[in-house]
Amino acid sequence: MSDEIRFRFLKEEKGADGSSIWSSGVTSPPVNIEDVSVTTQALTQIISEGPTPKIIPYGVKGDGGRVASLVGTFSGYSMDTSQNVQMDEYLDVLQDDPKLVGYGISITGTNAKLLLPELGIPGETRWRIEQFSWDRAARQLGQWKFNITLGYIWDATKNEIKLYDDGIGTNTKEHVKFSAALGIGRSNFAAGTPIYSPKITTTMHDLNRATFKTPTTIFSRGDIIHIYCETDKYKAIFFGEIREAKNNSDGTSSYDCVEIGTLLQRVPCAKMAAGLFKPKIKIPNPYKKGTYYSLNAFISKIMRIYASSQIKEYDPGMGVDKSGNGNSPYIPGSEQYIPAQLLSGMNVLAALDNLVEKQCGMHTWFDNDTGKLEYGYLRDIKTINPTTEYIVNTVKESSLSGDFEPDYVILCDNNGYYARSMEGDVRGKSYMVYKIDTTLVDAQLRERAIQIANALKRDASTYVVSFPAGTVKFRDGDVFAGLGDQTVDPVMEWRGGEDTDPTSNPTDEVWQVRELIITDSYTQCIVGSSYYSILDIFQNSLKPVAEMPVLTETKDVTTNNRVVAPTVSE
Amino acid sequence: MTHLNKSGNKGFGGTTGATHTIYVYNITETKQIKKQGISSYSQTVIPQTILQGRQPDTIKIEGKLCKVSEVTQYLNALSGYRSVNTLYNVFLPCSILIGSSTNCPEINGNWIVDTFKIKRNLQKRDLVLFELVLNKWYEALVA
Repeated sequence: MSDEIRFRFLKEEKGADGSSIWSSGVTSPPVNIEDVSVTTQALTQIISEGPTPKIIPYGVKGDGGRVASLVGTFSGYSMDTSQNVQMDEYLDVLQDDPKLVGYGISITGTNAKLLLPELGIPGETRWRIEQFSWDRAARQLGQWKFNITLGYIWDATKNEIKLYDDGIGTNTKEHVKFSAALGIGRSNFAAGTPIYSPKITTTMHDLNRATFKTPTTIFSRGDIIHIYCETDKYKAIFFGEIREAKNNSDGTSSYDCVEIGTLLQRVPCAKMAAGLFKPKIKIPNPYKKGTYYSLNAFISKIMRIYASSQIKEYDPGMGVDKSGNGNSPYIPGSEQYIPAQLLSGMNVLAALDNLVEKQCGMHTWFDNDTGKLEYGYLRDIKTINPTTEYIVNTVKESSLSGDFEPDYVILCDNNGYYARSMEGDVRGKSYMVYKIDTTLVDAQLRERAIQIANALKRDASTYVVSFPAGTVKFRDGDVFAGLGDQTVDPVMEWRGGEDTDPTSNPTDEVWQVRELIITDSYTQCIVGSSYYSILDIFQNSLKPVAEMPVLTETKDVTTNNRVVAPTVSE
Repeated sequence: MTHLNKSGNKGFGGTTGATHTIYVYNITETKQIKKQGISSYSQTVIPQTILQGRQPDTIKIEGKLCKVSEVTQYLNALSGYRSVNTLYNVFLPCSILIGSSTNCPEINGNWIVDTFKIKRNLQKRDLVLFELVLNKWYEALVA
């Protein structure tokens, strides 16, 4: 048999788990290759600022990373019309079958490897047909000439672009799979339905949200779901209710979900009793002369209102204390008692947030598996495994701490009294005015002013840290046992250890996850300091103001004049 | 973040790979700056360009890889370094190349592979040609 090159056409089908299955189809007649090229491209980030540019290599590009281009003719096929029908079978890549996605080719034929080594190993190397155009020039002997663009199909079992040492995390996948399981109880990845394009956004200040798609309609509005990632099959990364289910024009369905804590918004803090006047719902404090409720007692009372009318069998419990301050009757970080809580007109979640976030400066979280309520400053400590959870990129976010660092601070309270953080001559020094929504004695005012001035001098930078796909073990509020990045400029300082007292001592601060975005191709954390300065604790009652309130005083002045009856004379 | 002095994706393990001798037909080196310009909108305002930095030096090499009939022999030298030993894997993108040459002194130094292209055409059927685009690598190689 003479040496020749042929194409074996392959058909791609989508399997039930989303993976591609290639099956062999027909083999083409022999081809003459006139032109061939294969281009492979790197994916890098180039920072061309400063005296020396910096190149950050990521690896080989995914989409379009390796492209082959062929120009050739089919041997022996010309204008002979009796043969045209057969050529259509090879050249027509549009088919009716909806399961088929596309065509690929692999090289075959006697000694094909010697004739066309550029396209890899015959029978093994596969290329996806990205574009196939053909023409026939009647005047030039009528040969069928084709122009084909091929995309390389990377074989996941072969580590063909391995450039780095083992153990530095380059074996992690670029895309990971997610699934969603229906139901309020715990489930796992295998029991769920595969979903795609997931995006889970978690933030410390609001309920978590998730969006994802499915190829056909599977869920409906109001369904309770857990979302799992294939890298951690038994721990959910999201637990919530589907708020909106949309059918798209391409047959897929999109879903918007909100965290399970939203069910607490549907129960009011009210006793629905008969009668014209509804009773006020109030948790008094002190409840007996001299006896004050602790923080966790308050929270249990609020959660009991929900517990007596559960929705969809969701049980968040009475609150797990992550702050260490649960047994204290004081507002954390101060000597004031927690005030009586007036709950009328609020739903359970609003009442909870009002107490925990606005008054105590803490955060609330809901466990992703059980939905149990947790509250505190810092959640769990997480240790990074550097072989799989390495930092892909770090970007410093602009600091939110204010326009400038004043030399001193003036703090005024509700009565218009004020104190300065710095005594003595303040000529030539910059200042900022803050107002606190309470009344304090002079000594307390001065102490607070000093605390504010110190808080403003601290560097409250936040960083956006990207991790590879499938890094799902961090949650909003978690702190890192050790994190830093020396490879960026300015350096993200290494903070390790444990923050034992987040409200009083900034020297043992660690990095805390403020916001987290998980998608199927990356995980991104916004991290900030775990130290809770006075600005965080009194975030709602302490505000910078543009001008100080003018102190007015009334004074009664008595004159000794008497008014006598006037005399009128003519 | 460094762990055991390795910075993950942003560092190289320093494993030495294969040595290639390549035949160069054409070599061009480009040095480019990155600047920002402020145009003049009036007769009294002078236009300005502010230098921000420089782009990495880029070198583009075109030449001959090998003859079609010698491909197997050519790839033998790489068989210990490549799990898929094919022509398109002769130069791996993002790998570092240390160049040395007496008649092409531009190539001396450390480079990172950006694009590697192999090609063959009707006019020169028997030669596998290549194009290689390299960016200069400014950092040290971690041993």
